[in-house]
Amino acid sequence: MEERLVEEFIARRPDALGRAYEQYAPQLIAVARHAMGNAAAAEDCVHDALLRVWRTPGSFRPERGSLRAFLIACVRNEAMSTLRGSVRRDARERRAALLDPPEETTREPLDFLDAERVRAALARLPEEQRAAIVQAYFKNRSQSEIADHLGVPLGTIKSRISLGLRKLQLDLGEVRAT
Amino acid sequence: MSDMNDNIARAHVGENAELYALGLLEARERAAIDAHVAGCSTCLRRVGEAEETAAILAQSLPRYAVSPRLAERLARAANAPEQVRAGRPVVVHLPRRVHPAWFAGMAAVAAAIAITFSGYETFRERSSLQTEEVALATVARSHFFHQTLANAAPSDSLTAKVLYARDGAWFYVIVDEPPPALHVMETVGGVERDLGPPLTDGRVETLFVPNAGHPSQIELRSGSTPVASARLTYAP
Ligand SMILES: [Zn+2]
Repeated sequence: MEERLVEEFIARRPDALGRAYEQYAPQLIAVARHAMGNAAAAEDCVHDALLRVWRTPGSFRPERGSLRAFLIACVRNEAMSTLRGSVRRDARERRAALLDPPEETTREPLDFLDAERVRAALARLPEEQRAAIVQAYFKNRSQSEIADHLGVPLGTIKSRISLGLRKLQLDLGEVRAT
Repeated sequence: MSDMNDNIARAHVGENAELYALGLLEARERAAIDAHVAGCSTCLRRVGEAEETAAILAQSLPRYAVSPRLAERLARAANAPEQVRAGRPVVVHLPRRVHPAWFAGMAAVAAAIAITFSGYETFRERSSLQTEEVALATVARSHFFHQTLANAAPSDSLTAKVLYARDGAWFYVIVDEPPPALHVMETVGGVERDLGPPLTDGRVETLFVPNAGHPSQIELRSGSTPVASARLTYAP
């Protein structure tokens, strides 16, 4: 079923966009909501990200990986761009964002099993890589904000994030295979 | 590997693959990566793998209710009639030095078009050069009306303008200091369509629709909130 959706998405069958959303909505909404903070902004973010992909024929090829992971990354990028843009536009928002980071939530995760495995894999990372990834992904901080926060050069932050994510990939890769 | 010539090799994605997948790169850096992976299967795979890992991280994010309204919005946008899709919006970014003239009178607007049109150098670095040339040429050659969009709320202070062809064949929206998540809506024959988001880049945002189909209204929305609109009249 997923295969067929991917084929139709690539062929830009008109109903494939709506169906791709329906198929991956929980993840797409969660990713947008985590960065944007409220439901309306998250919806707009998913809408804009998916339309942007839809209007760029050839942006997704199966050799890249799954359509699901690609769309999740598109939404994440849309959300972070909007966040950075609004932060730049208004210094007050920036201060507010730093004073008031996304609240710890008691909501259930998208997937309990994966959440536990992510937690365990993060715990196995070297502390400096773990901290960089947590700041970047879970705290929605920019590279330079992380560099400031952790007091290390920007280049070091890039390397820690890259290295850390590749280690997670090796660690979590086995999870997806089962 | 055949797809790795020297030019591509110099710009391999490297650790930016992981930063891309986590949403840490600016639009310009992402565009460079998109262009690179279109011709480099090694980097395409690395970006793809980073995205798969990021997708697993996403599984630990809090779950929220999914909106069926969004499915409808997307289906509507993807199913827009053929003539709209053929003339799907083209985003045209003008050089910043020109933009104040867009908000002055007709003569200034015409002068700005002439300046812009002869000042191609400013556009040379942009990938959509051809599109911009076509857009500006169309505007410069045409007879058109112009109108300032009225803000939806008295407290709003958005400055936006629409130039549109006398025969309704195209329109051109210019927004100064656009609000977040901006959308352009057009009403043609009583049917409202979401023309989607222009790219956000800098202080001025413009959207050029080359075959517009005689719209009667243009509305700007920030997310789902209307922020400004104009009724287009075509009196001789
Ligand atoms: Zn490469």
